Amino acid sequence: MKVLAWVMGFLLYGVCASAQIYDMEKGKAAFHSEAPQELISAESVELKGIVDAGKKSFAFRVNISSFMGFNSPLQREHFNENYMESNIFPDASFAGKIIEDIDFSKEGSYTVRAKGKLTIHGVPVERIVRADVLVKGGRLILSSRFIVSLADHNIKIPRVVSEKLSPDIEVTVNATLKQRP
Amino acid sequence: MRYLWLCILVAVSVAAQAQRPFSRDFRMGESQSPVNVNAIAESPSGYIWVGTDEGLFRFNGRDFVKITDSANKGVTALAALGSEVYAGYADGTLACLADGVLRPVGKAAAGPRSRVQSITAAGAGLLWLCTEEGVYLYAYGRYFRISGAQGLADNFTYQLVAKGASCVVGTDNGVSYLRFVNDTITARRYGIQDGLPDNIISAIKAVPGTSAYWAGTHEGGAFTFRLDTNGMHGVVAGYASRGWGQVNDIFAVSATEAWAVTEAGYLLHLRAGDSLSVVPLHFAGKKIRRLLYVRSGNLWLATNEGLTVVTISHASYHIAGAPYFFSTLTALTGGDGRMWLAQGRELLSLHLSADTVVPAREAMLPAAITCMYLHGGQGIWLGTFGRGLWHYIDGRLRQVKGPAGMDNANILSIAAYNSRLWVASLNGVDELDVSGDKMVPVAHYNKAGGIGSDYVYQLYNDGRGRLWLATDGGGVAMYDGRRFHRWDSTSGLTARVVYSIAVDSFGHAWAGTPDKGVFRYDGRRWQQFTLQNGLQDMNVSSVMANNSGQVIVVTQKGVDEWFPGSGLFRRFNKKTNLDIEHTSAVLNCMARDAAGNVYVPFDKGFISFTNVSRPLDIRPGISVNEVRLFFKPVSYRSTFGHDENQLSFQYEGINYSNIERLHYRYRLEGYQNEWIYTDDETVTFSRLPAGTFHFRIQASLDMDFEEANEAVYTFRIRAPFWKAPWFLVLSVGIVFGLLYAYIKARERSLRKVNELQEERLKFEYELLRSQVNPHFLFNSLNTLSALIEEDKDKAVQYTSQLSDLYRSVLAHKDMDLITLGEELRIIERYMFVQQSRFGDALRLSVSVPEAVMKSGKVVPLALQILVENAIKHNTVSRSAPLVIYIEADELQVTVRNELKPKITKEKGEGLGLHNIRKRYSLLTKRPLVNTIADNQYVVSLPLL
Repeated sequence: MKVLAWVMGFLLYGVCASAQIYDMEKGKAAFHSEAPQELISAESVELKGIVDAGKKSFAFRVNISSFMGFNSPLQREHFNENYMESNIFPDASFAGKIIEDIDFSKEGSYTVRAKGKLTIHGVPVERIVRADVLVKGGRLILSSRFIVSLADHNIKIPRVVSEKLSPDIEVTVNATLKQRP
Repeated sequence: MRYLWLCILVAVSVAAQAQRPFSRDFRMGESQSPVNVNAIAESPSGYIWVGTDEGLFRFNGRDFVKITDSANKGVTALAALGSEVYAGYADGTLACLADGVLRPVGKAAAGPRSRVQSITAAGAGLLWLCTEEGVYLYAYGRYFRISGAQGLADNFTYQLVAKGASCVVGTDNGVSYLRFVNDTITARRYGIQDGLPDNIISAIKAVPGTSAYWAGTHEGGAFTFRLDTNGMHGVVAGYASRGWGQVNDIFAVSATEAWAVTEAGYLLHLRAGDSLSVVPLHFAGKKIRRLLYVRSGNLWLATNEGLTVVTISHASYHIAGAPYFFSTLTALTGGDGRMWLAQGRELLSLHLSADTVVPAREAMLPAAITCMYLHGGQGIWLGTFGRGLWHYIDGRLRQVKGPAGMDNANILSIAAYNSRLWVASLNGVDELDVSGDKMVPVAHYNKAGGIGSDYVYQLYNDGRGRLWLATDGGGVAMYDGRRFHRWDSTSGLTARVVYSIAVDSFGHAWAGTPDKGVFRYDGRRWQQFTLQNGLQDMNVSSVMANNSGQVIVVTQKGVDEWFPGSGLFRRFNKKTNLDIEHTSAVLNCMARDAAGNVYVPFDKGFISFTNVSRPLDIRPGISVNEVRLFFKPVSYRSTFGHDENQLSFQYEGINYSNIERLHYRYRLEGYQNEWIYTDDETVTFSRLPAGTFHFRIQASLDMDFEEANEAVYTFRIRAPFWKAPWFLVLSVGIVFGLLYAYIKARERSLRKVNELQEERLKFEYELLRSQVNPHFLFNSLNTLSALIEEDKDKAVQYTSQLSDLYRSVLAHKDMDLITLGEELRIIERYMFVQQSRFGDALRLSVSVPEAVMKSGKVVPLALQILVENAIKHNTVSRSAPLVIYIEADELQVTVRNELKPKITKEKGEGLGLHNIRKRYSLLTKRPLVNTIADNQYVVSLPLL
C-alpha cells in the first residue's frame, strides 16, 4: 500500500515537474576484469535509468543476464550462475543523489559526484561515484568509470579462478538521457 | 560464552617519510583474518572497545574478547560514557553494554532504520546518532528525529558535535549548524560558498573549550574553522586532493593541530596557520575508518583489516641509510635541524626534516671521535682519543691548539658553561677560554680539586647555572659557579661510578650507572630506580631528558622512557614488537635538539623521543570482569546469602605498551587489610564471614603501586537469619512473651485455686457456723430431749441421724464436688433432723432421675444450704406446710419452695447463697439462676 502511494506520488510528481526529468534514451554498462591470466570484458546495452535534475536524484538499473561479451559462452554461464546468481539477483542498480549543485538547464560539461546505494548481487554498498555530464540539446550525456570490489558485494571467487578473475572490476557506464517533454 | 583471540603482529609499515611512527597491527577473529573495524572507543577503565562487522570486541592490550550479542550484527558506531558503552548497528538499532551485557536501547521501531554512522554521547541517557536519514536524538528513553524538514542540510549525516543547545553536523551537503531555542530549531548551512573545500563533510570534531572545529571531507581534504552564534568564520581550507582519499575521522589536538585518517590509508598530521600543512603517513593497503587518541599517547587506527597502533605522539624514528653504520657509531649530537654522527674518525650529518635518509660525509679526523658538542652558532667541538680537541664550522675543520699535553689528550666529554668550554679528559677537567683562535686555560679541576675523580664520563650543563659531572669513582659532582658539591652514600647515591648524567624539565638530576640502575636527585636525596621499578637492565649507558618531563634511559637491552605523571617506565625493545633490535652500548651516544627532543641511535637509524604536548598516562587500567560463586560465574551482585561465602574475582590489567610487565596487588577490606602482591588474575576467598567487604585490586607495571589505578568491588554477605539482629530481638521477645504468658497463666490459675480454697474455707466456715448455729443446735437438742421422752427409739435414730449429718458435712467439706445422690442423702439426714422438729409442717419432694443421681455433680452441701435457707427464711406451720421441691434434669438441679417469708429475718441473710454462687463461678461459666416466680423461690444450680 505504502509502495503504491509512493509510486503514485512519483508519477504525479513526474507529470507536474516533467521538465526536470531525463529518461534513458540509450545506455550501456560494461565491465572489465584484468587478472594476471585472463582479461574479461562484457557489456549490456539494456541500461535503464532516470535522472531528476530538480530533485538532484537518479536511479539506474541493468539486467545482469543482458551482459554479452565474455571469452566463451561457458564463462557467461558461470558469470550468471556462479558469481552473480542472476536468477536470484536479476538486476544491479545504483540510485541516489547528486552532490554537486549543477544547473542542468545550462548547456556545458560538468563533473559531478553521484552518491547512493550501489546494489550488486543483492548487497547494497554506499558509494560516491564520479561522473562526467555533458548537457546538450535537452540531453544529458553521462559517462562514468568506477571500481567494484567483488568482496564488498559478497561475490566469492573460487581459488581456482583467482588468477583469471580480478577481485576489483572496472565498470564503465555511458548513457544518453533525454529530457521529458 | 567468551572467546579469547590472540592478537598478532604484522610487520612495521614502511613509509616514504623521513620520520615515521612505530606502528603495530592487531587482528581479531577466529581465523586471524582481516576484520573490518568500523568504530573504536576508550572507556575510563582503559579498555579499548572495537566495533567490527563481526560484533563488539573488548581489548586489554593482549586479548580481544568478543562481547556476546544475540543479534550478531555488525557494529558501526561506538561511544563510551562512564562505565557504559553504546553500540550502534548497521540496521539502525542501538545497544548499551553495562555490567558485561549488551541490552537494546529504546524501541527499535521508533529509531533509525539505516546504518548508525556515529554516536555522540552528550550525557547520561542523552545520545546523538548520525544516520543516513538524518540526526536522531535519544533522550528520556525516546527518539527524536531531525531531518531535512527541520532544516538539516542533507539527511545523510556522518558525525556531529553537540554543545549545549546547539549541534554542528557534517552532512553530504555541507555543515549544518542547528540551534534549539524554545522547542524550535533554527538551522544554518555552510558549504562551498562559505569557503569550505567540499560539500561532503565526512568528519567533524570540536577543539574542547574553544569555538574551533576541525572537519574532513570527501575530496577536499581537511579544514578548520570557527563557529559560534555569529556564524562560521576563519576557515583555513584544506589541501587539494592528492589521492589521500576521503577523511573518515579526525582528532583535534588544538585549534592549530589535528590528526586525520583517510579511506586511502593515510594518517595525516595537520597544522593550521595561514594555510594548512600536512605530513602524511601511509599505511598501504588499508582503509582507515576511525581514529582514537588514547590517554597513553598512542593513536589507534580502526582499519578494514583490524587495529593499528601508532606511537607517533611521543616516539617515532628516522631511518638512516649507509654510510650510517650503527655498530661503528661513536658519538652523536644535534640541535640545528641536523643530526651529527661520528663513526670512528668520520664526521657525518643528516637533515632530520629532509626526505633523504642518507647521511652526508662532512670531515675525516686523524683519530677516533669520542664526543661532540654542538655549540649553538659556534660550530661543533669534537673530542678525540689521543689527538685532543677539534673544531668544525662551515665545512672547516681545525685542531684547537692549547696547553701542553692537551694536543694529545683523550677527550671524554665537552660542554659549554659560563661562556667557557669545559673539557673532560683522562686527567680531570679543563676550563678553557675559546673565544679566541687558541684555547686559553682558565682552570683545571681534578680528583684533588673537588671532583673526586680524574675520570669524568660526562659534563652536563643543565641551563640552570649548574654543571653536572658524571665521574668514575667520585659519583656525581655538581659545580654551581663557586664550588663543587658531592654526595656520599648517605644521600642515597650508592654508586661511585656514574656513566651518564642529565637534568629533566623539573630540575631533577638523573644519573646512569654501570651496575646500579639510575638515580634521581630531587634536591634533597637521591632515589634509586632498579629492575623493581621497571628498568630493563641495571647497566645504563646513557641518560637524557626531553623538555616535557620524560627521561630516556638507554641500556643494552633497549630503551626505557620515564613518564613522570604515571611514575612508570615505558619499555622499548625488540620484545615489545617495535622492531628495535639493538641499542648502542657507547656511553652517552644520544642527542638532544634545541626543542628538547631526544634522539637515540638504533640499528635502523634514530628513535626520537619527542616532547609531548599533553600529559600522558601510561598507568595500566584495571577491571574486575567476573565474580564467581563456588567457581560458577554470577552476574553482578552486591549482596550474597550467608552460605554463599566462597567468592572468586577475575580481574585483568589493561596496558598497550608493556602488558607483559603487569603486576597486581589486592586486599579484601573488612576481611584482610594487608595488600597481597600477585601476578595471578584470579583470587578466591573461601568461607567468608558475614559482613561488608571492599575488594580492591590495583595494577602496575612495576612493584610500585603508589600511583596505580584501582578497581573496587563492594559486596555484602548477609548474616544467617539466626544471627541477624532482627531475629535475635524477635527470639528474645518471643521467649520473654512466652515466659510472661506462662507466668501470667500460672498466676491466674494459682489465684483461682486460692480463691477456690478461700471460698471453700469460707463456705465451710459458713456451713459449720450455720450447722453449729446455736439455734439449730438448741432446736436440735430440744427436739432430741422431746423425743427422748416420747419415743426412745426415735431419739436414738435422731441422734444417729444428727451425728451422721455432722459426719457427712465434715466428710464432704474437703471435696470439690460430690454426686447429686450423695448430696441428696445428706439432705435426707438433714430433713430427718428438721422433720423431727417440724413434723408434717415440713415436707421434701425430690424428683431426680436415677441416672442424674450418679452423673450430676454439685458442690458439696450446696443443696443442703438451699434447703436450710428455705427453712430459715420461710414460716413453717402445720396449717401451711413448707414444701421444698428438689428437681433435676441433665443440666441442672432446682430447689424451689413457696415463698412464705418470716416476719423477722434471720441473721446472715443471703450469705450462704452468695458463697454458693461464688464457688460455682469458679467452677463453671454456666450461671446459677435465682428467681422468684409465681410466688415461688427458685434456685437452679448447674450440674457439673
